[in-house]
Amino acid sequence: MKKLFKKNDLIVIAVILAAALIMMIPGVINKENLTATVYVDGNIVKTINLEEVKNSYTFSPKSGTEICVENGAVYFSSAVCRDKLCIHSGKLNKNGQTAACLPERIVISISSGKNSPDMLTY
Amino acid sequence: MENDNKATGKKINIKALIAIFVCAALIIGVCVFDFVQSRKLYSCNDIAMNTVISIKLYGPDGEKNSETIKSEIHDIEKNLLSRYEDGSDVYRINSSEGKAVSVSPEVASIISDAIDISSDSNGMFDITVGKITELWGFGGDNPKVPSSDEINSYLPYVGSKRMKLTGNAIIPGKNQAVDLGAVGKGATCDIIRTQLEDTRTDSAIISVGGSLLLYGKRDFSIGIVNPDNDKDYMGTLKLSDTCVSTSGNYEQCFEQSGKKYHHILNASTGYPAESYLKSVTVICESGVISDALSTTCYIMGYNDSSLALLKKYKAEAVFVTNDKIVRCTDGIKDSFELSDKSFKMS
Repeated sequence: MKKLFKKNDLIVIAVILAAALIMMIPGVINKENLTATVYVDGNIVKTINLEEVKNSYTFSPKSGTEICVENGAVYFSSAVCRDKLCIHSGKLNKNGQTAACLPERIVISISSGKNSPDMLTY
Repeated sequence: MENDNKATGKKINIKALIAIFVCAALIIGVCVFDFVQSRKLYSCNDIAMNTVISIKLYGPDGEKNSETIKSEIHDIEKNLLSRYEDGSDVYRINSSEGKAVSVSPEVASIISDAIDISSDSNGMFDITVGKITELWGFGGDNPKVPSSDEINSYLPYVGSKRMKLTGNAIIPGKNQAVDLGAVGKGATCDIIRTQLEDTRTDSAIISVGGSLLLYGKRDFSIGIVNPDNDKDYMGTLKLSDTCVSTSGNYEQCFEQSGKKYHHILNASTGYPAESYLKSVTVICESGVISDALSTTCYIMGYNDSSLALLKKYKAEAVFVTNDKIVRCTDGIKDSFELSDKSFKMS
């Protein structure tokens, strides 16, 4: 009984399968990353892959406001607004979390493809 | 010999067809997977209505459509709902001194729905509580407990029955101020939905300060915020093509003399509602109704009256009590999953 596929056929199919898997990898990897996006006036000013942060650092998206970035987390560390609600929001480390300094119009948003909600209702 | 060749030819054709089919299916599958799951999503955030706006759009023209949506939300705030923006519909109603004001059809519709729910709740929910809301100053720089004299000076004037709505013309009652804070975010979701229908957006999830529009047939996982830690969630709902609103005692609250005061006022007393609930999440096709009902059910508490009200508007709800018991209405039980085990299902 003859085989349905010859050796060369199998090699071609294997190559295509491997190519398909390689094409899927970037999408899967990107979705796993915990990413913080910082907006000022609705515009993105910084995107940070929180899982690649080795050493903590701070940056200032707007004069007087400081954001601290750590491995796996981000938070408002200093603000000029009166109520400091943005600082009281604490560390953001999960998909869907946001913190905002409303007077300064700064938003930090966390996204990730991991198994967590698309959005929070509050 | 000829028959053998024919047989071989047939075998080769089947082989080739299978190979082509498998390869095509794989390539198309991978491309569709990658395209749908990754490239079609466009997300962004903004600040409007004194809260955070989050937008996730699935489909073509995501960036362009999100800009249009952001612009629309700013327009809704500026022209329709803001109490402080000179010229907005609400501003004009509140400064009309009892004269008729012509408003947009959207605002007339919102007020009409709010009047209905006020009547259904025997006035516990009422948008004409604006003057008393101002006394409390929730969300402002100096929130404070007003004196009982201050509250009693405005309480007799609260009541949608004293306001006249005819078509798009509104005549507020004496000493009344309209506050659409309890319905404005949900109403914005409704307006955005009609805008999305004119685009090629496949599906979308938009948060207007925690009130959500779920657009399209895609199933979304919605986290209900943990009332004890508003950066986390206590459970999730799997939903599509609906609106979701939550009212809770953790938002815009302040402490005075060791007592915590939240912002959800019982319009019939002028004081924050005491209903033994931490939060109520309402799911309903209409954004304005889901928003209004989450506030109303929070004020009313978990009882036959609030359940009947939800049923009347074909809405479902998740109640979270002060002792961390979660009660879901029948239609939503199967969609809800508890993730924080410190809460218990009823």
